[in-house]
Amino acid sequence: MQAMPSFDRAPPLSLPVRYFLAAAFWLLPLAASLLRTDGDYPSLSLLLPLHLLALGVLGNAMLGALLQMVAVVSGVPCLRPTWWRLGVWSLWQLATASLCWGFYQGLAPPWLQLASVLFALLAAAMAGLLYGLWRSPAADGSSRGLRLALGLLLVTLLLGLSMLAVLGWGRPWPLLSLLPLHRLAAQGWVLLLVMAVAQVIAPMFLLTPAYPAWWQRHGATLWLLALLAGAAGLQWQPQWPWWWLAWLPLALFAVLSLRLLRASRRPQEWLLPYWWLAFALLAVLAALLPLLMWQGAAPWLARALAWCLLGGFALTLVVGMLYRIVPFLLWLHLKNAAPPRHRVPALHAFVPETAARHSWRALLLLQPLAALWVWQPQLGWPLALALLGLLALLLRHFVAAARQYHTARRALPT
Amino acid sequence: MNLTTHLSAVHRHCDDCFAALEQAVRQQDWAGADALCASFCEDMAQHFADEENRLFLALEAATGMRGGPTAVMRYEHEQMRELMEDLNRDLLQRDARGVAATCDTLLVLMQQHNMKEENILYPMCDSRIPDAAALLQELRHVTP
Repeated sequence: MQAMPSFDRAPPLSLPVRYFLAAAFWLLPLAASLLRTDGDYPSLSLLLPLHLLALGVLGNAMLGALLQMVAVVSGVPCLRPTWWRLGVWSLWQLATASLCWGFYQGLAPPWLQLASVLFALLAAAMAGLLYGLWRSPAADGSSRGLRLALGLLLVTLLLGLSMLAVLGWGRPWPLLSLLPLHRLAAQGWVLLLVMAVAQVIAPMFLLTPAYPAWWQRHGATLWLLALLAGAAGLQWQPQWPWWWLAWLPLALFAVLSLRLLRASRRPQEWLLPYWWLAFALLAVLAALLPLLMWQGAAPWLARALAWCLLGGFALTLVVGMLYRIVPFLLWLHLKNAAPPRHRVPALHAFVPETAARHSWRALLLLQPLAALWVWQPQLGWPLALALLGLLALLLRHFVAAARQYHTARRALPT
Repeated sequence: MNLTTHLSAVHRHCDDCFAALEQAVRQQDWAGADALCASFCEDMAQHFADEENRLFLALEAATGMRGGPTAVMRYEHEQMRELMEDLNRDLLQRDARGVAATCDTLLVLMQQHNMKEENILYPMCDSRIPDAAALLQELRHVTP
């Protein structure tokens, strides 16, 4: 039986904001880890920044946004806000910290064991959220994509847990078979989530034409099938780079999105350059992929692909999303607290457009510095400094927004 | 054509008016902006009235629910009406920055509201309202 939508039980303000704040603070250890990496692949010194970025920065931001989105897009009520705000949030930070500290300590079993227990609890929480989403009455392409994305997050967590069982608990499972599958599932989760979100955000907030109907209907399934084909190929003949199959729909997604952005009817919108940059980096990623056929798992290529997907594409979209969603949430909560007909400050009063444009420039600066790191991994310090600069900007802008919110809140008539 | 496709098309029509209004303000075409704002606000007001006086009442009668989703939608309509008043005030004062700021706020509120309606509420109306086809005919007087 389908559930009734509960728009009146959207998450409280502090729930997504807590995840967003944590995402910003994880930039600090990420920058520090870049100073120590030798950039070799596969190596712990590369896995450390990769997981700090994927779980600490992007994981927190995407989870915060997902909890907000399932309430708005799919009408799934937030039944236990305290559990998600305190329980799941703390579990996520502790699990990420344990895993990364375990990597830093050269795969120290006690930390990996702790991480496995914490991630198992998180997997149970995600399964609960997926169940709620499955019962949602929403049947649109975006909600279908969210379900698949969350399903892949669960698979990613389970595959990661299997590897922790090998490394932390000594289980005799094939680590080298699990690793590429874990990587595929993680890529799938990131891209399916972005696909689901893009179908809604691009036409509605950037006023672009809609994605083609066939893509809205079958895009997520096509991607899932490509992922499964890649995973099956890996099991059948592991020496061959089958996993490039999983990237085929990526190029299509990049081209479709760039074409839509060109047709946006809000050329003045500050979010638009964020999307241009993100999808341009996705196109670069698609262009680099064929090199896998000749270069195999060359460390520079592994660094370039990882950066383009996580540090380039996903981080750019996430930062843009923060500048769109945080002022709106502050405005909405202020409006709901104000008496009827009371005029509250507009979104620009919380975070001015110029602030969002400054951070976009910081993200643009990150890209050549990342290219330098891809080329010469010992030159990670300029990239690390730029990431700290981005953190400083985010904190400055969002602290100012919080101050503005509290000032306006105090000024409300009683 | 069902309620979902028709009402989603009305949303897109209002989006078109909204984009044209923003464009006119950017080009300092105040006379054009006045006309576009009047047309946008009129279409939005008509759409809200259609929903509140016909669609939501029919859904409430079909499902027996009075509060919940339709109450939230009415509340958000009220918030958008207030923002449209602000928009008219800013436009009257020829305050381009004020119009841009109000438009930005209105766009986000409007689109997250549309998302809820198009993804969940309208499909629910199509499946739960017994005579959805007749209701659709009544609502088609606003041509997107």
